[in-house]
Amino acid sequence: MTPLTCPEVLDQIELHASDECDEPVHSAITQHLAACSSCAAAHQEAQQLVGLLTLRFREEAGLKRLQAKVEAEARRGRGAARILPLLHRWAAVAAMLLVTVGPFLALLLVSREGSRDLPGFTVAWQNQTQWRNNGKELASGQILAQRSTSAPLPAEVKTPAGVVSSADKEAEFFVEVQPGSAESKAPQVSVTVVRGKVKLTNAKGTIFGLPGETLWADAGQAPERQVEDLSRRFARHYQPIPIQVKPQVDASPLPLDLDKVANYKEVAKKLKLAAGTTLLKTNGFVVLPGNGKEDLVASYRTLASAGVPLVLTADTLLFFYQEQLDETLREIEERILFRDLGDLLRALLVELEQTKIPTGNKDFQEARKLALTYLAVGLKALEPKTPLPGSVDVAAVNDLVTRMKKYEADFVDYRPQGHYTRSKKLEQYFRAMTWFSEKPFLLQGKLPEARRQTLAAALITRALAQGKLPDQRKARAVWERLYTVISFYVGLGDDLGFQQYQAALKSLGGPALDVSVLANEEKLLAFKAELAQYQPPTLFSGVEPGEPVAGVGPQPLLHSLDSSRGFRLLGKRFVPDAYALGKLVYPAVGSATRKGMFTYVQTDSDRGIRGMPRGLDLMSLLGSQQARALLAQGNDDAYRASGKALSYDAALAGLRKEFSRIDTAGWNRNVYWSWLYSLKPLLADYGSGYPAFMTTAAYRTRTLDAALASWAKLRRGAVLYVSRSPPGQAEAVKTLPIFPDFRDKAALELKLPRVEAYVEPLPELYARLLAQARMARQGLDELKLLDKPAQKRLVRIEQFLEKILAIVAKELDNQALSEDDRSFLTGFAALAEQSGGVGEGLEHPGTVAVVAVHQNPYSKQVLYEAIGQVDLGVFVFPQPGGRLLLGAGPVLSYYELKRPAGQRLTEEQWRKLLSDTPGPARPAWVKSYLAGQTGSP
Amino acid sequence: MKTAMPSEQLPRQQTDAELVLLCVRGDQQAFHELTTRYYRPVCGFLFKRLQQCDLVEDLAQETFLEAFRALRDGRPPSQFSSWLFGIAHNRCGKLFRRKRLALFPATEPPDKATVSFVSAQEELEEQQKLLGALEDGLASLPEETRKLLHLKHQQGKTCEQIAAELGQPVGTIKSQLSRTYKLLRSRMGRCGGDLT
Repeated sequence: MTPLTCPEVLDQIELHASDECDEPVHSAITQHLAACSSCAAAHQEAQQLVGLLTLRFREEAGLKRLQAKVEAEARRGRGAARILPLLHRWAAVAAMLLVTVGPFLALLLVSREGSRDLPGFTVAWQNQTQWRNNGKELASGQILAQRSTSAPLPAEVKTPAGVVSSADKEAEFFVEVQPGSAESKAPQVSVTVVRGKVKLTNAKGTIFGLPGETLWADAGQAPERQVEDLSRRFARHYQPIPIQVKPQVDASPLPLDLDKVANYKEVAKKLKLAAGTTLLKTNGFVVLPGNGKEDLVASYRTLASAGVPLVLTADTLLFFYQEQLDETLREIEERILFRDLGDLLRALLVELEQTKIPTGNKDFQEARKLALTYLAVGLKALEPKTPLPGSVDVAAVNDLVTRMKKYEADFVDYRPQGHYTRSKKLEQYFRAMTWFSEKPFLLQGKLPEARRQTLAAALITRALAQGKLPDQRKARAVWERLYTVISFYVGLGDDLGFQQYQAALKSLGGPALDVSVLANEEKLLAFKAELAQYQPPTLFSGVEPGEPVAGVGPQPLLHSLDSSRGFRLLGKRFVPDAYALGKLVYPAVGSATRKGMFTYVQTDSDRGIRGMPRGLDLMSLLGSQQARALLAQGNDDAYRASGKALSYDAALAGLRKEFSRIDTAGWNRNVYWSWLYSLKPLLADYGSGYPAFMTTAAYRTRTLDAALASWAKLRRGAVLYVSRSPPGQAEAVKTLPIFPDFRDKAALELKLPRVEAYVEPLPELYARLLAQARMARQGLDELKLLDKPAQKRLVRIEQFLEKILAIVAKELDNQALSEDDRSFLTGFAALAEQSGGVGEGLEHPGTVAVVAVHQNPYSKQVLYEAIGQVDLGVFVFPQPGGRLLLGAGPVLSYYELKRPAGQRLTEEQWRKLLSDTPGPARPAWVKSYLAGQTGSP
Repeated sequence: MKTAMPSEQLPRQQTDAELVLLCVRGDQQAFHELTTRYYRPVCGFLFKRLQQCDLVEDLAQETFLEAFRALRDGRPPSQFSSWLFGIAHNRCGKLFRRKRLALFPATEPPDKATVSFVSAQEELEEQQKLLGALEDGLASLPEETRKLLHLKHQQGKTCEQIAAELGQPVGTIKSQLSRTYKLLRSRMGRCGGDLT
């Protein structure tokens, strides 16, 4: 279906919101909404209306239902009601007694009503409260406390489990106190912060909470902060930036009359443009194959030196931003996470050695050995020189670590990539983290091994829950920080882990997590069944196993388990692209109706299946009509429904519907998801009001490739491809310099000639990157992970993107740029050079990258997404007054290839392949914009 | 012809405080009056945070039941509306804390869950403005259109089912529905109500 315009979308927006559009229109609107913020806002309004109408029309039935419930409640309460007034009268007497007799009558409880004032705060609402100690301590019940602005004292609520306080003028918080129960014996307090900063203190410690967070403590334990909403915790820092631009550029008619381009002859000669003239005329732009360089900065320097007007391409901005963001992760890993992981592992080893296990139980003895070895391997991979405790089988540990370092058969994934090749320390961190994300303690398997693995996981869980580091930090808190940081960058865990094992262990072994109960075979089965209830993550589950399955017995549950389910200390992460690609291949998609497609694989029984996904699948899902058309052109959609498998179309439609339910906050739950969200404007169609080159199908293909290349870079996880030094040779890490402050005139002092410049006008893309940069800074700041240089790094990027956004708005509004703007743009090459580390012994970050994204068991091939060397984009761009100029800027080159499994393609090998003649083929579709290319399927 | 004075036409509406007092004395009808008065604003309040009608209805019921129990037990609030919204807000909070042990619950709370709790009065005014505009819009619709909305939103029927029931083409039903939604949206927008 052809893309819809805004008026067409707005016409059907309410029907879409009420789920009444037919499928092709529904998908087209969903795709449009992904890239158009104003229509998305209208859609949100429509959804609100539909919701309110549903509530309004169901109100009568709701009221009837409520009345029936109230009547039933009234019947139940009649008996109690007769007694309560007497109790209240008694309570009033008791209160009087407390005042006169004093606090020694501690448990004479008084129930208070309505709002009340206490020193420093007002109880705006309360429920089932019981106060003691002269009404100064909340013994049980719930209150909403609001800080009295006029009060000189901080708000303070005393409870048996701790004191809740805040000096914030506008603080507001819910407090709920549960009196001690027979099970836990200690009273508990939980505090949900509505406004301001709130402190919870008891004899064991102090903790602070911010709005949206919940603090918790019991009388015998230090307070803790709950992070249950981690899946969306950072989304609250994402504030979409409204686009105020109304594009009104007078597009020159295509094909272009190149005589009307003011500097055509001069620049065409310098760029040796002859081979690209036809495409330039047809589309208003052309991409010239690069000359084997992979340095974006050098490209700008060369162009500026030659006096060619610069075009700041979307590829360039994505690249620089991604580099800077990755640098923050590297800094955090080196400065904090490396040390924390080592300290945590040492503490766990100590705790494990001290854990009491049932005497003479061989399974437990073996399980402890297993757990000790597991932790020691990770520790040794991280810190090779660290001494290990005497109870560890050092020979076994050393053997595993040696094999890991040699990347033997089972350890091919342990070869560091990207920034992890930049120092020994980072390489070691990479290997240790890979170990803890890959190596599981499986729930299922042959006895007694499976039993021992589960017991080992339980022992580690207990050690994590109860261990302490020498600096008195809780092991659990340190683990949570590690987990949270990775979650912020990549996403939440995709495996069973500490949270689930702890919950299951608590249900069987009580709050003390008594592992010895698992010596009983029935209890062990119950423990596994409890864990089996946690379902694998889905797109909307908070990507964390959670809701138990009801009504299924333990044995069927265990049998239904995937054989790979088990405990991982820091498990793999759930990412939506992997999820989606997994649903667009066999067995989710049915049999092939043709042969020979890129995605086609033949099974052992000669059946044709969709064995490989494509990057285009993801882009189609994210809203690219062009990607869908290219899939059809290559017959990569020629798969029909068979058995339970869907046709390709149906599978894609199902996914689209699923993805369309993700709202802005859902898309911006972490940096990885947010990056995919930011790419969507690259997949949109641009019509009137935009420069001529942006309105062509060829441009849509070019931006599709830019999105694919950026995804390939992202897909390497946090690993970007800064291979400045080959693995094993690097020692000290050079820091990627912070982007210079463009407002500093000295920073803009050019050693290069001043040239005209233009920014590829994609305001929605830059706005999303800016919103993400702000989210990143605030999220990392909240985690207290940013030191001053890191903070400065992110602030500079924000300032840079703000400036880019302002310039793009002027370009699209046909306004002339100010002298400052021009100076900023023409100084970009100088800025880029400074941020690229020139003069500090660093090469510029190279563009070459490769990442494996899928493996097919039948063809035994792996799908790689890759970026090659820099190409040169040449664009005819308009200036106010109708003047046309020819300018150029570097763009990334995208590749997709299949290679045999077992020979993992490294970056060095990929670089070598690129330099071979002939090099790897580009996708066929590049011929629409790349001069002199034929391409491969 | 005798014209009735306003006070004769309509009985004076009892204040919240009066109704609350009656509730505390065991007058169930008074509580029914309060639910009629506040059910819609409380649903609006919850909908703003949860965006899911089914969930909103459940929590609204829980909110009123909790309020009923508190009043029955002789604990009247000084300001009913703030108190009631406080319960609703707390119910939202509880929803997000239901699975304490799992750090990351399976059912993600909607992103607006942790919005600041604005004053109950502001909330009430905003809700009344918005819902008043919706009500006015509905009142201005012809009977036939109201029936269409009734079938769609009360009975949960699709346009296809409605078309079959009314013996009209699906396209006609969809156009009519689309026009009606647009009309209501524009009315609510004009009243300054913030739909989002």
